[in-house]
Amino acid sequence: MSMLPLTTSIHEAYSSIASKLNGSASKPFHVQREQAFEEFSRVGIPTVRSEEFKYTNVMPLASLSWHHAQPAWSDEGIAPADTSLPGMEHAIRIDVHNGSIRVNSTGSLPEGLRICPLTEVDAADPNAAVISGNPFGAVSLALASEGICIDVADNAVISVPVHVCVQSDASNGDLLSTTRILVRVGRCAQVDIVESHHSSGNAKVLDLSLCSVHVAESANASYVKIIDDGTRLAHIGQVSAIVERTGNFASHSVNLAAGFVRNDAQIRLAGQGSQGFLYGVSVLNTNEYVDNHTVVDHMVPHCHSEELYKGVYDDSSMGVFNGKIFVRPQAQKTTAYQSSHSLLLSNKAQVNAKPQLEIWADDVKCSHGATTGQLNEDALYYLQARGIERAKAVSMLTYAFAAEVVDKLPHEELRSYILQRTAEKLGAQDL
Amino acid sequence: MTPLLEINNLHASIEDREILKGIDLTVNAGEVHAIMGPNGSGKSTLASVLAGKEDYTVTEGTVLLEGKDLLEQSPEDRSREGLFLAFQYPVEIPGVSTANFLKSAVNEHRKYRGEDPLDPGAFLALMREKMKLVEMDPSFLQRSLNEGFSGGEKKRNEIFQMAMLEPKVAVLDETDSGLDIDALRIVAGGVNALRTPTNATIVITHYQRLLDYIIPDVVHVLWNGKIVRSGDKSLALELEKRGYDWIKNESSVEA
Repeated sequence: MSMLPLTTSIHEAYSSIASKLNGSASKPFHVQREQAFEEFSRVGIPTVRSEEFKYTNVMPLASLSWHHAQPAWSDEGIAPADTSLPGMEHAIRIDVHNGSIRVNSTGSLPEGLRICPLTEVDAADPNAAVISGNPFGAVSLALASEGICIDVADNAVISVPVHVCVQSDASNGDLLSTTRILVRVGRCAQVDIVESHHSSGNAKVLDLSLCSVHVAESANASYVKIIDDGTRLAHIGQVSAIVERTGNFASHSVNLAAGFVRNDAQIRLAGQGSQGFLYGVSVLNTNEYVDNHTVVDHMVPHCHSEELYKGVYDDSSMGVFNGKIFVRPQAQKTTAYQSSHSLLLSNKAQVNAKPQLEIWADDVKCSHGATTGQLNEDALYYLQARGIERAKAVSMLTYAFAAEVVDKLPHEELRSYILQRTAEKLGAQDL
Repeated sequence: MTPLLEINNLHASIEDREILKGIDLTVNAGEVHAIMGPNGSGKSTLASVLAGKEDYTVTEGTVLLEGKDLLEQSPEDRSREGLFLAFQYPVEIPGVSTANFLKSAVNEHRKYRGEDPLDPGAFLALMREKMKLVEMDPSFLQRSLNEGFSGGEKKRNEIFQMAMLEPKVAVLDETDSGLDIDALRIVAGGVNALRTPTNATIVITHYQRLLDYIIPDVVHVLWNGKIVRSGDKSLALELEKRGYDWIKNESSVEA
């Protein structure tokens, strides 16, 4: 059987990295890369026959050849990007431009924060095994010639967000971008990570990203991923977190302009009293496509998880939500709540929602709810009866629907900006 | 002088079932009309048909608001033309604050009249002033519209909206239902304060109780989709004493 062009591109990119290792191949980072590559070689590109990719057909992407933008740290060559997100001006910026990585921060980093290449980290990533189970996670891992490590020391509270801004310029042909981030949050420390993905140029971008987070005892971390680009960008990303005793982790997936997006967000609650929060909002029209897959794994007793995903689908846009919750036999006194709500604004829009709960403990509180529908006619009539044009009433209610999730975002400035973008997308700016 | 509201031979049905079977009603400026009647007589249907709820089909008759055909207008235009319905069951709208909702409503009314939107400062001052009429706390402005409001708070909010929109004809659909005596007094006080010689109020109610506070000029009894009797406020007292069976029996004899 002949190899798919994407598979060939991945093999070539891997060989190119391997040829430059110069004897460092035995470092944990590279050993994990090798294992991930072997895993990918074994499972290959998923087809729609794979349960995890039932609706998300990656074959159009797999049938193209891609040039890999090999990740490497650089001291030069990146102008401070003009894609800086409003509300993120004060953030500590890490720019990734066609693989070239640089910290763009005015002045020195706050005390307790260290940002360095992953090649300088000797410890293995505790999430690696889980990540390799997803073929694209494995690719991101395997092709991270150099990755980004964000280290937060014990007790350090980083008050400004750390913004990883990934820009891919496809002016010279179809580009494969892989971003690999490891975040280690020390005991009682706190950090907010924001990841945004952007593209330019005439060709296509296949943008893979992988963020692995370790939240130590009593630490707090949040991770926000923003996809607000265009149809050029196909994004397949993953965030995977392990949360230790009484730690907190929240993941936010914001999809406002998204040609093709697949996001996997996974939380393993590994220490008693830990909490995990998963939020997602998609506001789509035209042929946009967003697939959100989530996993919460309650491994020990007395943990709490909450999940809220909402989507607004207009035109021929399509959404997928697959939410797994595992409660292991020993994880008594678990509380786990999941809900996903979709609003279909057009007859051609489509959403597939699948809650999937596997509960092995008997003293738990778990619930899930999934709704798909139209706006409440009584609410529309009520607004109209007060003199508000029907079209405007639709915008108001749709915006309010989406805003419930956006309101969960950390940082006031970021939240206002995303609310404003949500309103713009819905034509509700003047409300 | 043109009446504010003129309803002629109004017939309306829902899913092929006729509910209103020929309503005639004329309301002049400065008047308060009460429409009473047993459950299922068509009181709330009349309110919904006037406000333009889509579920109902008008099969016959006309409704004129200051001489203009009301029935051909969208619900939003009816509101902008000066009709206000205080809902029996105000809808809870999560995520839309009372302040934002009212700002949109008031400015849409102003736009319709060719006026500029109110500046935020003036608007806030206006809201705070009008809230006092129904003793509402300003903290309600930032809360989602009606979400988690008690029954009394929802009804007060309806009258607050009425105060903001200054309608020509206000229809209060069972505004007294579910109110305790204090809330009833506050709501009625608000309605009375909003009465002027140029507007009119139609109070739809099942019980006479509300009419102790909002004194009607005319009382109508609706039964089986028709107004079967009209009189002054003593009719309401008589109904309270004798119950609706008296009217039902008499009108079935007439029929």
